[in-house]
Amino acid sequence: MRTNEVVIEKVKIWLQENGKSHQWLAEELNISKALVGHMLSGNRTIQPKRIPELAKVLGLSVNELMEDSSLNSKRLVVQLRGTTSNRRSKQEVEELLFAIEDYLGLKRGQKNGS
Amino acid sequence: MDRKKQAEAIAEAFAADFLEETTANAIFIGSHIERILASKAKVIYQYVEDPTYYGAAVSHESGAQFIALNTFHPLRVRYFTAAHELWHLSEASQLQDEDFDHERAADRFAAAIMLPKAIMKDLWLQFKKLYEPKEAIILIADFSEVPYEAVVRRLKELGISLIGVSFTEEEWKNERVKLDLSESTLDFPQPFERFTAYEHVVEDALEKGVVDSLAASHKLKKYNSQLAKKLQEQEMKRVAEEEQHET
Repeated sequence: MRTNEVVIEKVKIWLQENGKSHQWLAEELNISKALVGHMLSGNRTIQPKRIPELAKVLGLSVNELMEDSSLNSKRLVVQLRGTTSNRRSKQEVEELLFAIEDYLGLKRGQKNGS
Repeated sequence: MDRKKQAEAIAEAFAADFLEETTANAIFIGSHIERILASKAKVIYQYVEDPTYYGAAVSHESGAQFIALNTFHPLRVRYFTAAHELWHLSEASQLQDEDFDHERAADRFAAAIMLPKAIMKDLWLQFKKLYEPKEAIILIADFSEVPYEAVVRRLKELGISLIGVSFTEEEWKNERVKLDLSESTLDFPQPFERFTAYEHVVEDALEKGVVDSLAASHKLKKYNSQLAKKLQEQEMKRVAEEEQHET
């Protein structure tokens, strides 16, 4: 998945999960609602300068916003002990995997930086 | 030898080696199992209100291993889960072929390291002179910090004949009351969430400016809410100071 698509996907999910509108995002970024619509529909490529702004609004690091977590997930092998029998516990396992992926991403960053 | 019996025999043999190298055959590991587990993998404590979920083993292609333990369960169940997961991380587990019954082996391995053969036999000989079987089982479960059902299963595995002691964990708690034994903290969960390795790596990223306080706070809010709150307050203070300078 290209960076633009990754970022769009993450922003869309985040807005949905947090109950925020395009209007809200437009105000946060100080741009028009129409531009937000174009960006999130993929009609207009997100300018690199918008990425840190978006990351800040979403409370993520730039790495997190740009990292394709679907690729990482494939590299994780998960064995549950027992089963997840409700939606909440399934979500907890998803969150666990996200934290592990983020841990690995930051760890890689540490190694590359050292 | 059938698949299950083969898995049990192999797990028991490797458990004996493990005890010799790690601790000793003459003590109960108990809660120390989590320290041992933490030396082999990153341990993550989750609180998931789901009685059917005990935890997870997650491995990454880089070789990094993570074990999640659900703190929703009573302590004795959590410790036994930790011992079970240790099998999956062991070299012994890696050596087996695809047909091997790993779940069976993991349970046997957990029982064998948490309830070593030698000490179990000695203790049972002593206790059966002093107490009725149910009381002896409860006392051993408390000493070893494992589920009651695991003690019963282990005694049977060691060839000890037991009649009328087949209860669920909840029923065992009622048996304690009937026998006038005090409550055990091991029968209750210790709910908390922690992912220490993640905490350290986020703090490091924050120090190096890879992430800002807000992002760090967001990442840690689940696993260390106090630190997350502190970071958020720091950021708010910083922003307020900046605004004051601008005006």
